[in-house]
Amino acid sequence: MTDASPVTADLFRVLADPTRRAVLERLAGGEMTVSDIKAGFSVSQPAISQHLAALRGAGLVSERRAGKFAYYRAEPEALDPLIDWIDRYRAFWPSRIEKLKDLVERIDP
Amino acid sequence: MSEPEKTTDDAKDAGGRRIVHETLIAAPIDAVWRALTTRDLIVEWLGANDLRPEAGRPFTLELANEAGEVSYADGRVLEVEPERRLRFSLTEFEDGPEPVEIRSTVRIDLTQTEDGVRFRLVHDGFERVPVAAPAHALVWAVAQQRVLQIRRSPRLRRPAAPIAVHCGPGRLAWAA
Repeated sequence: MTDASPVTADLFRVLADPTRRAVLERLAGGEMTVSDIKAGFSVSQPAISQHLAALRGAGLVSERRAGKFAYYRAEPEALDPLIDWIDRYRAFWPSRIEKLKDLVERIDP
Repeated sequence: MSEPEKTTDDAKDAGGRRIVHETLIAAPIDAVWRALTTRDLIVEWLGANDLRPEAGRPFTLELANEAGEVSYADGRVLEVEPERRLRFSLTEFEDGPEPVEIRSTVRIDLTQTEDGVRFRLVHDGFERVPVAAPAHALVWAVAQQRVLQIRRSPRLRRPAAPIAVHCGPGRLAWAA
């Protein structure tokens, strides 16, 4: 699996933006609202929201809504370099196990 | 052996790094074991491989995905308990500026129940281990040749060409 999967390519694209990387770094410290995140950045709140949407799309950030507030936090698992490998095995086993069942029925009808 | 757990609980335990499949096979346990360990049968369900049920024995497994992309894993049989357990390791190679091995372990447990055989597969222990590159490029080329040969002749007992039986960073061992 040396080729980049679509998921990996998406991660690279999303993380190519320095503001998004900074947002993600900030969220690594804990859950925050959009205004918490915005503090210290020179970009507008809608711009931050757009970056958050992109990060959420790539599975790097998750959102939790409580009342009128939305809290965001980093999902470091999305950056786990093993995820692609594990996902590939996840796709590998079900068909193999089905074949095994078919085979056993054939050799022992 | 632990109690049956739900797949989702297992996945959570290992931080999403564990694959668990559990199914009931309505057949005698010896038939299931034969399918897991007999040369010609194991190739039929697992795909091209030269696994033999002997602890310590290396093997190569061909991994093909839905898109038809093929890669190879270097395996080693870890544990063989007839009609109860088969455990083996799988190692793949990730090329790049800092090459790594992707290691994992597959454990298959069989249990006789009233309704048939409970088949439980746990694939976990995933880790990335840095390795030296040059030896690996060679090992992978050799492993690939070996599996291609097995594919061409599934009943072949003994490969005609030398095969690499063990590899690690910077070292290789060969079997005639």
